[in-house]
Amino acid sequence: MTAKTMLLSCVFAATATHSFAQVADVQQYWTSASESKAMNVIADAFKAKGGTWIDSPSADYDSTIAAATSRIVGGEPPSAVLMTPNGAMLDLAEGGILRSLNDLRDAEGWQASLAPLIYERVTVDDEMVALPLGVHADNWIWYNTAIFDEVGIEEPTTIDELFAAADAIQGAGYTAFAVGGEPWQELYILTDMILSLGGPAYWNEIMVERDDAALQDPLLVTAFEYFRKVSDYVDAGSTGRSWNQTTNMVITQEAAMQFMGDWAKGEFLAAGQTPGKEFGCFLMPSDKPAYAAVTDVFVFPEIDDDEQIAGQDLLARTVMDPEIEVQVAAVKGSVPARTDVDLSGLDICATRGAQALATPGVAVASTYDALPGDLNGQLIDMATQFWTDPDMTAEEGAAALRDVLAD
Amino acid sequence: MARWFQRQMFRPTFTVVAFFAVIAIFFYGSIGWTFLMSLTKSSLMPRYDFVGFEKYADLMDNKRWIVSCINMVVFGALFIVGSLILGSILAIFIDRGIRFEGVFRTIFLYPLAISLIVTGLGWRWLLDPTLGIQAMVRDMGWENFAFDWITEPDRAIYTLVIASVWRSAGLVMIIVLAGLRSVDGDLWKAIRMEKIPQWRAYVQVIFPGMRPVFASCIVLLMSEVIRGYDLIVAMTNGGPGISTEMPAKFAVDFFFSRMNLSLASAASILMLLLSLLMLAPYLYSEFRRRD
Amino acid sequence: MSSPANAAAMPRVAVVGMYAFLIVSALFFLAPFLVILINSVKPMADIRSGNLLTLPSEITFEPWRIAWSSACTGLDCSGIKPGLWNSILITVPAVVISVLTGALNGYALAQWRSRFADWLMLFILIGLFVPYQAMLYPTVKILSGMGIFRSYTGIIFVHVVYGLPYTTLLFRNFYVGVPDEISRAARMEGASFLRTFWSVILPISTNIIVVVAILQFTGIWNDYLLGLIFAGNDNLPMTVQLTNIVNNSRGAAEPNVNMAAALLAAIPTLIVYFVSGRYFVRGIATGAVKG
Repeated sequence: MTAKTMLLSCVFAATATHSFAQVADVQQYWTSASESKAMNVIADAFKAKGGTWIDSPSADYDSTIAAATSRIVGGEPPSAVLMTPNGAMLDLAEGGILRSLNDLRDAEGWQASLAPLIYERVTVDDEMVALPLGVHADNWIWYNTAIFDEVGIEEPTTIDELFAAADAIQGAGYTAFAVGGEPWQELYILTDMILSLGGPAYWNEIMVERDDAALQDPLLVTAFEYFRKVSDYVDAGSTGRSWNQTTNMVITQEAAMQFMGDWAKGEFLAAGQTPGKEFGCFLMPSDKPAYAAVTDVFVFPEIDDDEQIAGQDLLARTVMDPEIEVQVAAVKGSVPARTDVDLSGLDICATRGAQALATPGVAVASTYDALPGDLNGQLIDMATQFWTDPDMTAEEGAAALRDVLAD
Repeated sequence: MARWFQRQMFRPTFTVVAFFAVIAIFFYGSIGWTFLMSLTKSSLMPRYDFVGFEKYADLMDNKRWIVSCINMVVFGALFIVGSLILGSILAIFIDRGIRFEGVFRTIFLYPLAISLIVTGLGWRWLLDPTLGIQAMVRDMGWENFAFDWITEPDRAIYTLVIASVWRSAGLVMIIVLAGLRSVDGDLWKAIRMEKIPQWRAYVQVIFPGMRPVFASCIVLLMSEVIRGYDLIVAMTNGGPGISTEMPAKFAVDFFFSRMNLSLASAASILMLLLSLLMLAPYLYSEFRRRD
Repeated sequence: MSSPANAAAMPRVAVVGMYAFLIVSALFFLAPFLVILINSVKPMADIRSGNLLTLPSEITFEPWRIAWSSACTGLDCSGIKPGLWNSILITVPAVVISVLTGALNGYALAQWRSRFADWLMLFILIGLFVPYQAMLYPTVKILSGMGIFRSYTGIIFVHVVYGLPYTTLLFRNFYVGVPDEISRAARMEGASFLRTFWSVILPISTNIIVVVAILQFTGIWNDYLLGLIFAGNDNLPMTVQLTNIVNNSRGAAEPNVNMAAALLAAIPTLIVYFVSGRYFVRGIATGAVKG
């Protein structure tokens, strides 16, 4: 603990001692072993500061949202809900359901300490409505170092090198790309190609501004051509395969690379492998590198119970504690949302991620976070239709993408 | 008041009305509210900004919805017929004083008991061409054996039929079995006296007398067709592509993960209308019988 | 003997054919079960290397132990154990009340001499086709108005009400087939409607009671969504923990633990299947008429 953070936590502890019990009923879905450990980091710190944590876990994002909104409708909202800063958060914020954290933000100087992209994601109409627990990115590629060594290739730095590497790997008798069959996995491959060709600026034009002219760019057709090309390197068991099972192909040296978010790291670690040793990671190669962030946040529903309001205050400060941010990232394999923290404890992949997040103009919001309403879902439907229908041309694919994104 | 109440004790009317009230409040209240929501622009949370029938038009333009409806017809017909036939045969055999009746009955029922997420995964592994049945048969020497339906957009729906029949045949079996055990013993005596072959006895005498029992089965299977989605999520998750999407999965997806409450509501209302259509033949025969 | 020919009285060929069919069916039914069972005793190394349908390299009960008492389900890492008692506390009363209300309502509908009776049945049937997700918000509103949202009473109430269309249908279609003389005889002796139901009708309904109890037990025991939303933190059923173990979307997957957890969670239901079948008795309804 640095002197500065120690001082800060003393201040927090001092301001936190007041007459109310501090209760937080937390609706959340971090239920796997590593996720649970990460949530326990937060909960332990919260309890150490005198808070009472009521855990309301459910299996996934969907059931968490279902439970949280039902509780809000039924007049018994949870104190905090784990989610992502996506259309659902926007909807809750616009409905006046979320507590504004501007008072805490100003008191603690949170705006300055967060990566600009992340701050922008958690703010709606200048009200800070969510706090980041950590950041993942979905445009990573994971690879088996033994296969790379055997074939004699380095981490590719351009999209052409990537496919050249794939050819070499296939020539050596391995599956070049391990691809699963869940539709969202397929969308990631497409968005990787778009990001690689267009870079962050173009990405923001089509995903954030959804600009018509940018959506007409022939670059999209090229992206679909590359997307289709990936299917040449895929094995027969791809259909319907889960992402974990797909990651196992890289772990067991059956396949060389997988396009996947950095939660895949957990699978490698669970199999006893070390980043930089048995497996490696790089962001989708490009001359305009990008980092497509998926953020985990807590939102705090408006509540009129004094104990729970005090609990929200304490929980908010706990989550934003730089020490906690780093610990959560280390346990969960994510990257801290604060840019003013000590990264020395993170592994090589997380360090790369944190550097990318901190580099101006590199970080963008992933489709999941960037798109309002059910547009991300429509993109998933579109991507999987293209992927499974070999007769669909790249032009038709680009047109379908335009149809979804154009207003 | 007390006397009025006492008089009602002698009549079914009071009971019927009381239950009807509960059902009306919960189910019809929900249907009414869902219809209301389908006319709005609500995304995640309910909002009351009405836009008329816009969402229904959106549905009709949605390729995934159309594919879902077509799939439901194909799937529904095969699933209902398959479950009825397999379930009835199992019930007949189990009804004949076989050995280990309890074991067999439990085996045919157990698919209902185990979490669908996990049984769906079991099926997916069995059907996966690189891991499952196809790979096993090929390993045994039949190199050209192919059973890769789950990866074929045109055929994946049949794997869902197989797994769903596997799951629901036990339900039919147990309802039909209860019915068979309640068949009047005199009827069997008469059948034996007439020396009617067994299979004809079932087809022409016993089953026609059990019409309400089969009606229960058919309605429950239809409800499964309209409402079931867990197995689809666990096995194919609607894929490959959108080739095994179903209306219930559509609605469930849009309620929360796609935060489009209004579109999901419109889909639910259309599903109710579809279910009325499916029920029509059953209702027709019910009403005719009573007249 | 007032039953169909039992196995002993059948021609030898028919008996062999029948058992052959039963055994082949049993194998088909058991295939996914074997996949699940085998993988639940496999070390993760086997699963990672992709041998999902082969026998384990070594048998380990570690996944079962983890699933029972140390898998993470949230902040807590104590497996599915903590929810077992809650599940029993919810399921048993909910099934009993469900069976009684369904039987009463079904009997009343079968007895009700009114031209509305069939229409009413249709009205109730529609309830089987409303997706749960569409009923969520209205039900939350009603229950929070009654002050039982997120409570023990609340979850039981929801299960009973949501089960009404299901239970009513099964009982009503059973009672339609019960000879009228039984009720008439009771009424002649001056028994009220409720009295007749309780002391004459219920005792002859064992078969259908077993069916409904089996199906409701299955449904309520395996319910996840309603438990999560309506039970409240202190009463969460085991399925919430089970689903939290099985269905984590981004954490490292452990299919062996998932499968062990699913099997553990299914044990109570399997016991119910095995034991309750004994109460499938032949010809009670007929006996009562003659008696």
